[in-house]
Amino acid sequence: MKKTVPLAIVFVTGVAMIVQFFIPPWPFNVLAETVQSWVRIIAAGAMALGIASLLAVNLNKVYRQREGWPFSIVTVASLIGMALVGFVWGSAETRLIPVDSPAAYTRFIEAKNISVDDAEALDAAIVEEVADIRAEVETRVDVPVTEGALLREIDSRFQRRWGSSPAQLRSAPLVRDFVEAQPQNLDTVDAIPRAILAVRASVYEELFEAGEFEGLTVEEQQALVEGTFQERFLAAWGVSPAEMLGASQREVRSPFFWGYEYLYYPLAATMFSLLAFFVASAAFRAFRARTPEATLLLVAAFFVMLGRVPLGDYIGEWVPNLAGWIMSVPNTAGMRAIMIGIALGAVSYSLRIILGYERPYLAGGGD
Amino acid sequence: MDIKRNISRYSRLIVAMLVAAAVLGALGAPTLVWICVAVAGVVPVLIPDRRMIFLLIAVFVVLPLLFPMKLETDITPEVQNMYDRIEELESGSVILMSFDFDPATRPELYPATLAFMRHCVRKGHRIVTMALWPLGVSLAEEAVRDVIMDEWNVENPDDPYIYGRDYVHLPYMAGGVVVANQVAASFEQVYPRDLRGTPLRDIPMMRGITNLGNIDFTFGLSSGDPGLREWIMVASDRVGIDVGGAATAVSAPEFYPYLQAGQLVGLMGGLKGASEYEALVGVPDTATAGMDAQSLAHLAIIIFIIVGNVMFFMDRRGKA
Repeated sequence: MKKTVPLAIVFVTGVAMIVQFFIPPWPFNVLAETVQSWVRIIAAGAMALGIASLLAVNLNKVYRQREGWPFSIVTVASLIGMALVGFVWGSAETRLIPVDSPAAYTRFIEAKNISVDDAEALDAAIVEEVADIRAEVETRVDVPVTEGALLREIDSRFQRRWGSSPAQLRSAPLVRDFVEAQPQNLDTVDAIPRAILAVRASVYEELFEAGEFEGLTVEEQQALVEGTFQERFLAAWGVSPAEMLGASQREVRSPFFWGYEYLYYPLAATMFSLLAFFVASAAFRAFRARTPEATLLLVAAFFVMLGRVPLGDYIGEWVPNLAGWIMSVPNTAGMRAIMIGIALGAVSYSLRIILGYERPYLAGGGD
Repeated sequence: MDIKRNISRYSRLIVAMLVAAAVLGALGAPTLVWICVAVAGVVPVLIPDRRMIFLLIAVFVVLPLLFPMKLETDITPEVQNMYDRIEELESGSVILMSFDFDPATRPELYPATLAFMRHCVRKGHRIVTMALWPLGVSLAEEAVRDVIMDEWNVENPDDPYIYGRDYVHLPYMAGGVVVANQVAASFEQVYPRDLRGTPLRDIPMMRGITNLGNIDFTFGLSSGDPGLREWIMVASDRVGIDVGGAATAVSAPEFYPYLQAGQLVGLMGGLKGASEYEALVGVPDTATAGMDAQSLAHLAIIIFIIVGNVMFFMDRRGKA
């Protein structure tokens, strides 16, 4: 029974998947879709299994203090550290944090000796400050190459220096007026998004009490609320709710992104780059013309390496042409033979599994 | 005895290096002869230690990056074909870009990503990004930030690319080829929501894109399995849409049979392929800059192979 049931499941599933390939209509298409959804679920489950396995193996190694156990501590700490950071701050590249632009505004106008609500003088001071930061950024060696990246860097430095971006500083008086106009006392700046939502909720209530929703579908009701809300907000404050929200929040890189960008990426790229050094060393020590076959391989490698870089073009047109011929004729022939061989092997192995001759899924091979 | 053996070894090394220099010079590159001679002079002193080989490779890679030689590259047919196919598509066509690689191969594949995305944006094509590798999603976001937000939207404020109208990010889904197979039938079945959590049916751009059949061109960025091979099997063979891709130089030879059979429209192989695409798009970037370093690194390896073989034959003759 312990063997018969798994064998039967494998046989029925295998045959059904073959049949659905040749007979796509119902019910085989539904069967194929269902089984493929299961595969995705199992693949996601396998990731969890992988994490559990990684923890078990490395913790066991640390516990028994086997060779290289300190590296296992680093592995486990990195895994747990990145997971915690992701759970606490989210795994998205950026996250929004509140900005106290009225406070930043006060600091800025005091530092620059500008009178309150003198928009012209404020604008001139901001332009001067941005020019100063741009000059500072452009002297750096790693200056961003595109104008967009440069503007982002300037914005970021401005925020670090003054607590909000130039655009937020310009709209700070508006945010201050909005905060002061709210009936409830807004203790924190992150209450602004809630205040904006409260305005929307009041519009909804008003329309509901006026019976405006009668005979409308849910989508039509939502569209009516959204339209009225946008219109009234714009009329009252001169900006859209999205612009008001933008003036009170700013995007910052998440800690998860920092871990990815400044730890994982350089480490992974370094590991891959080491290949160049090992290839060079191996080429010197092991790439020898010991046999006719090895000589053939060596000559082919010589011309392909030379022909696949611009250096080959400088030697002569025949070098890249020869490299191209090697790639598209002997290489393709060889690759095709390998692929056909693998495919035939996969078919015969699959058939053996379906028919129960191979049982790798049973513990101990089913014997 | 040791001194004698070392002197003998060094002299053989010097001869070997000069032979290497002569062979490369005889191939018709007189400007490179000085490099070969210089290496011939330096290598024999350094070569007995493996670390010195590493040092030489580092020098060959770093120097051209600091002092660019600006070597120009020819365009191979496989890259030209893909460029032409994207050119032929009408503006507003939908391109699926699958980011099936991770930061390990980013230096090699990211320049290809930027060059291709830049071309699509300039042609006004709409872009759907997805990933069969978990970390591909971050690379997709990064590419959009570099090409669309920092470049196109800044240079063209009157005609910006807008999320949901001109491009969409789909999240990572585990399953490899099964994911590709299922999007052939329905995007929404696999991706009920986009990367930002918005239901797919609420995204204006995705309303007309229900499955792979609504995609005009699939571009796979591949550094292993699952990757470009899966897109050839599903998008090209099953659905019948054009597929192109970029692969690491190591894995590029695997795709030549597909190119010859017409299952693959075009291929950017490694940094060289990316530099060719950059030349076609007219924006030389990191791949073009990296060609000098790659050229000299290949040259160094060729020299090592020649030296190694000359020494091998000398040793064999000595023993005989």
